[in-house]
Formats: sequence, C-alpha cells, structure tokens
Amino acid sequence: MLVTALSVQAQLPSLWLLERDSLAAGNCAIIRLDGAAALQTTGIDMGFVRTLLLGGYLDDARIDKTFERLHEYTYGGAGMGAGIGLYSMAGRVLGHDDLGLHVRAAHVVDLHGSMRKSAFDLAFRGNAHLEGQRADAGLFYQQTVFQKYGIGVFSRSSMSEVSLSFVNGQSFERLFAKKAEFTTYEGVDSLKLDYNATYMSSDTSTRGFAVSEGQGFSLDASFNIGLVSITVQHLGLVRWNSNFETYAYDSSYVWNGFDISDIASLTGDTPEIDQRLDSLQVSPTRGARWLPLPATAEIRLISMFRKQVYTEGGIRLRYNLVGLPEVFAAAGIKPWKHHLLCVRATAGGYGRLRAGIEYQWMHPGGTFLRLGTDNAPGFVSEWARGTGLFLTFAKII
Amino acid sequence: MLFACRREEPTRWNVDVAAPLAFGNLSLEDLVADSLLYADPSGLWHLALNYSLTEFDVDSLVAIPDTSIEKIFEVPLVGGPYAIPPGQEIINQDENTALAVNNVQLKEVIAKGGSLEYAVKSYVNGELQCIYSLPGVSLNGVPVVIDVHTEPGNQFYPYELTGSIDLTGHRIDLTGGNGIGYNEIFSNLVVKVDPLAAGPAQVFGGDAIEILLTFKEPEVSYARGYFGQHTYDFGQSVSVGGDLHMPQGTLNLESAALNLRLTNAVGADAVVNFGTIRAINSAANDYVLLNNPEILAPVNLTRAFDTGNGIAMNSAEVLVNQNNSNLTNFLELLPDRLVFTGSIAINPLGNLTDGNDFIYTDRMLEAGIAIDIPLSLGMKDLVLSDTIALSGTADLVANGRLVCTVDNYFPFSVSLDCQLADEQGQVLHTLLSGVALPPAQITTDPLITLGAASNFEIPVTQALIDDFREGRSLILRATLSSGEDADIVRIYKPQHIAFFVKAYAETEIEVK
Repeated sequence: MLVTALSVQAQLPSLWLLERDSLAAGNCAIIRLDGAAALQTTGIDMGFVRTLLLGGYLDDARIDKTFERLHEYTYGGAGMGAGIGLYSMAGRVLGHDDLGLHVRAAHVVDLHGSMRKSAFDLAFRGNAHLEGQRADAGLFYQQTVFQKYGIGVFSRSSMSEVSLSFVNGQSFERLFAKKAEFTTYEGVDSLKLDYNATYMSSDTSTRGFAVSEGQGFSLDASFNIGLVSITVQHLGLVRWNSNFETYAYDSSYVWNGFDISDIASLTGDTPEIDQRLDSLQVSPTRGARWLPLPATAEIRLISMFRKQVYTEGGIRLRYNLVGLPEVFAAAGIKPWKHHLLCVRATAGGYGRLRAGIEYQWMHPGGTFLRLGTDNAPGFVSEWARGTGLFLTFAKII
Repeated sequence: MLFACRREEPTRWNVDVAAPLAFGNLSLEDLVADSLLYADPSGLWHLALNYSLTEFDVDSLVAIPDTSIEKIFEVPLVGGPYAIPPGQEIINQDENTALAVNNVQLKEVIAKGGSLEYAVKSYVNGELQCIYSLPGVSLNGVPVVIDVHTEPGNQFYPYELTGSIDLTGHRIDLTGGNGIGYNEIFSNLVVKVDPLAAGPAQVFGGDAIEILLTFKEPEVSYARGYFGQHTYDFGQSVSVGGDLHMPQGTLNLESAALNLRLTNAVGADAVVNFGTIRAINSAANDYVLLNNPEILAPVNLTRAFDTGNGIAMNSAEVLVNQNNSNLTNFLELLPDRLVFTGSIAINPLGNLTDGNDFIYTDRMLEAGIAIDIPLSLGMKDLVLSDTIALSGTADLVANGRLVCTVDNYFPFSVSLDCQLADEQGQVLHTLLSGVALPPAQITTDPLITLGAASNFEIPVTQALIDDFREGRSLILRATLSSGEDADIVRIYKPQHIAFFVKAYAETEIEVK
C-alpha cells in the first residue's frame, strides 16, 4: 500500500489518530496535500496591514488608534507553505513490517519581526510631537524562503515519521537594528540618530521562485504516542552562497540643517547634502554563511469523552528572536462518525489570544479533508490582529 | 492570502515632521563677489570696482585685409614649338607685390593666424617644375618656397594645382626687394622643364604660368613701420551691475576714489582726450557728469620702447576723489552704467621714429578705471534685489511653516520681502512682506556690534509648493536703512547676519 503526504501543518490531523483504522484500510499509498497561510501580530490590526500591503490611505484616526493599542514591543509573523507528500504502504523497511517509506516536497515562506512602539510612532506619526524627546526605533525583521525535498520512514500503525530533507535556500533577508535612537532636541535645533544595526541578504543577483542561493538540510520528525504527538519541523541549516552580504552600521549622525553660509549672492544653487551623510554608506562584507532554518517544536495532547466530545491542547515553540511560546487548545464534537468540528483558542507566538475553527472529515473510502483557521475573526473584522487558513487533503490511492 | 494580492495603489499617510532646515552666517563676503570686496587694515569693508575700456584697442591700425595677388609669367620666346629638354630653365623672374593696407607704412609683420593660399596654372605642354620663392616670408628663419610639379596643359585646358600654408608664426618682410620699401612682398619664380620628365616639353612663345596668391584672414601679432597720424573717436558704456546688483534708493557716501590709469604699450605717441564721463541710473532716468579738470584734460601718452627683451611702457594716472571732484555725488546716483566718450590721437607729432613704430597686439593702449568705495555710508530705503530662477519641481505633499530666527549684526536695519512670481512676473505668493530686522547696537569697539534678534514665520502651503516649478522665479528684496537721515555707519568685516531656519510640516509619505 502506498501513502502520500505533505506537511505544512506539522501535526498529524487529529482525526487520523482517532480513526487510524479507516485510513489504513487502503491498499497501496496515501497522497497528502497541505497548504497554509497565516499572518499574526500582537498589536497591528488587519485593516492597517491590508492597507500597508495593498495600498491606500492610512488616516490619522486609524494610525492613532493603532498606536494606542501597541505595547512597548510589537511582534509579528507570517508564513505560507504548500507541499505534497507520498506515504508508501507497500514493502518492509529495515526488516520491519510496520515501517514504510515516504517522500515529500514543500515550499516554505517564513517572515517574522518586531518593532518598538517608538518606531511605529516615528514612522507613522512623525517627530513633531517628540520635541525634546528621544525615541528608540529599534526593530527586527527576517524573511526566509526555501524548498525542501525529503525522504523518510513512517510507522504504519502510529503514523509517526522521521525524514531528512535536502533544502534549497531561495532567499534570506534580515534587518536587526539593536539601537536606533532618534532624538529631536528642544527647539528643533538639531536631530540626532544613534544606530547600531546589521543587515543581511542572500545573493541579490538571483531572484525568483526556487532559485538556489544556498543549500542545506532539514530533519523533520513527528512521534505519535497514543494520543500524544510530538513534532519537530525545519530543524536544519542552510549554507548561503559566497554572495551573501552583511552590512554593519554603528555610528551616530547629527543633523543641524544645511549650512548655506557659503552661498554667495543667493544664486539659487542647491546646497549639497552634508558630506557626513556619506557615513551612512557602508560597504558590505561578502561570504558564505551557515544559518539555521526557522525551526518549530510542538507537543499536542488529544482526548475524547464519550466518543463524541473532543479536546486537545498543546504548546508550540519557534526558534527565532521574536516568537513567544504559543499555547493552543481546542474543543469539539464528532457529530457523526468521520466528522470532527471544533473551535480553537491560541495565545502567544506572534499574537495574543485568538479564536479559530476547524473541520475535519474522513471518508471511509480513504479520503481526508481538513479546513480551518487559527484566527477566525480575521476573516470578518479589520480590527482583528491576524488571520490565516490551513487546508489538508489526503487520499488513499 | 494577503501576499497573493497585488498592490493596486501606493500606501500613503501623513506625518508631522519637525526638523532644522538651514543655518548659517551671511556676511558681506557672502553677498558680494570676492573680487569686488576687500577689508582695509582697520577691518572696514571697501567696495572695489574695476573696469577696462576696451575701445582703446588700436590693432585696427595694422590690420591686413584679405588680399589676392594674381601673377602671370610668360615664356620669353617667339613662335614655336620649341622642344625644351628636361632641366632646362624657361622662366626666372623677380617681383615686388604691394599689400593693400591703408594709411600705414608697414615694414615687418609677424602673423598669429591666417593662411596663404596659392593656385598654380600651367598652359605649357610639358611637365614643369615651378619654384615660387618668398624670401621675405619665413618661419623660424626658413623662407617659404612653393615648389610644385605640373603636368602638361594647353591654352584651353591648363593644368591647375592648389595648396595652402598656415601663416601662424611667420615673419613677413614688407620692405620689398631693395629692403627699404614698405607694404611690399618680394618674390622670385623659376620655371623649368621637370628634370624627371620623360621627354622634352613642347613650348610656344606666349605660353604662360599663372600664380594666384591669397592672404586669407591674416592676423597680426606684431607690426613695425610708420602707423601714420590718426584720430579715433571712442564711446564706451560700462555696465556697473553684473555681479554687484546695483541697488536703488538713497545712498550717502562719506568718501570714494576713482583712479584712471592709461598705459601705452605701443611704439607710437598717443593723446587721449576724455570728452565726458557720465554716470547713468537707467531706472531713475537720471545721470551725473564727472567733474574733474584733470581727467577731462588731454592726457599725453609717450610711445613705448622695444627693449628687445620686452616692452618699456609709459603710463599716466589721474586720481579723482571727493576733494577734487563731484565723485561722491557721481556714485550716489547708484549708476547702472558708466559712459565714456572722447578721442585718441596717434602720432600727433608725425613720424618721429623713421618708420619704426611698433605694436604687439596682445599689449596695446590700455585704459582702466578703479573705483574704491569705503563702506562708510548712509542708506535710506536702499533696495538690494535679486531674482532667482527656479529649476525643477518640488515633488512634495506638505503643509506647514518655516520658523526663522535671525540675529542682525549689521548697524543698519533690513526689511525683507520675498515673492514667488510666475513666468510673466505676476506675483503668485508673498512669502515675506516687510519683515523687519532691527539694526545691531554699536559699541565703543567698531568691530563689535550687539546683534538684534528677530523671529518670523513663513507659511508653506501645498499651493505654494505646487507653484514652485521650473520657469518661475523667487523675487528677493532687502531694504536697508541707517536712520531717517541716512546716518553714516561703517560696515566692518566681522558684521554679519546669523540665521537658523527650521521646518514644521505635515507631509505625506508614499510607499509605492
């Protein structure tokens, strides 16, 4: 029997665990398709983000309201992935009847960042109201895009799996402004910027889907012990090629205005910008570099009451500078056999408490469908701070 | 999902920005070109105006016009044909040719440009060698020789050959074949059957060689001879504006000096006679004549001497000031033009050098005036104005104001006006209207004044920004006063205006 699968949502769908007999009833293989996209922030609502990304006018009222809702730090993250996997039920692996082979391919986009409240204030409200004050506009941003091509083994009985993937690094970008203090002196006599920042970028000479700017590996594993699932995803490294650039900025700049003492007879010549601005120009250092993938780890516990009431809970950890531990819980019912409907609650990660909804259906003939979101209000309210959608489709072939 | 969507328009928002925009110190050095200003040892500024009177150039005396000379040399035989073997001479003839110059007797000229173009026509049925020598025209001592070889021709179809010689640097002896004449070029023509010809030439009596010489656009760098007696009238207008932007209003000068300097670098005597020197204020449609007996009397300029290593020039100077003339009134008119009229007489006493007048055309009869005005003066409503042509457009969405802080260290008050005008000069916006900068307070030390502070704002609206575009202009006007009676104040080097401009504006950010 063959089985196929893709995993963007790393967890094995809960209904697979609850009705694994139905899934295993096929003959040869399972093909599994997954797709997911999500965007989440701790303070900026979707209406604001939508205008920022798609264009339009951000009026003062919206900017002020968003600003008031921000805490000292705002975190945000977004991800998108799609993939395909194939689980083979035929044959033996390593002499074990329970083990099967599986292969997978996936495309992953991961973005995350953080921003000081002052950075938002400066960027969207200006500095006129900050006279005599210092604003710390520190921020962090990272984007990783890669493709994975993996092969591994899985347990036919528990659907636990381990795979090793070749990773093609498509692009990487990171801006880390540890310090970006912007001071507007009393009387607006001068402005000062103290900054200490690093910007990294993978090979800028190539851009596009699946171009190769680096290569690496990734280990993915999911262990299902009873109704407990432990999952590790994207545990690996990429060696970005020798055109990887790193810019380091560490300086201070004071702006007092154009010195136009030398303009004779007010001839109308345009004053040249102070040569000190040249100090902002930093030559990059180039060289190959190993960097980790945006790994995640997750533990999930499922339980059933009276065969109809479903609950789950767990925690998800992200290996990056921004994401907080994310806890989630879900409760639902199985209104009919092979159907699962539940509501979800998630807190942490890149956002605050949000509510989601999920539906799963497994046809006895070997078709599986999962559709859900971690943040349902994001679909209907522009004041929600995130939105997302995940979809899994699997079929016994 | 969001990332799958495409941006359909820019994202825009408004921010309130406060920033220092410009600062600096404006001293008189910044407002007046360095060449027009100097400080004396006490630190008092002087305005120094220098003008050259170019109408005094007398190189036209020795100018050589384009001249064409056509010579026909006939074979001194009768009948024919005669078979003349290769190498046999047919013509050997000397010539003196007069140059068409007027009223001067030139003995020697050195050219700095122009060309000598020649055309040779042969009506002789044979291959000839024509050697046309100009021993008086030489470059670095080497005479010009035009040596051409002609193909056979006949009376209907002469063989023709042309060429050109650059005259730059050539010395031209114009004393003719005997060495005592003038305006004459000596030449010699030898025509023979080409020694390299395949056979004899068939020559008839009356066969001719024609030579056409053309001096084209000759330029003279040096000339010697007798330049004759001439009198030229001159009239020259000198603009006083230019870099200075002469003001309008009332000026009260304490003193001034005008130095007229005449220098004769020509080896001929000259007398310069100024008829009038007039200051004209075109805007006021007024003028003042300079009244000084010395400057209006004939000025004798003795000839210069050529030492062989250079020229020993002779000069004459006339100094005019407030004590011997009406110079301060002359300048208080605030003229935009000075007009000089008069005459120059060359060799008024005739040929005193036996025809050895000389001229180097890069140094001739030179005249210049230097006006020195110590800035110890009084002003009342003295208006300095300038118009700045705008270039480009300001691609900016903003509404706000410019806040200006000014400290005036000059001992006079300034009233500022600034307007934006369209292409027709119509005022579109008034940025400043009569903004007053009070005078600094004078201390016992003339170099130290106590600055007077002023603050004012310039509103910057979107309409104003939109009107800042190419073709339009900014009209600046500063009205200076040193009291109701134009009291005398002294302007010293340390005095200046310190300014600081900051901007408060709501501006639109656009991310495409």
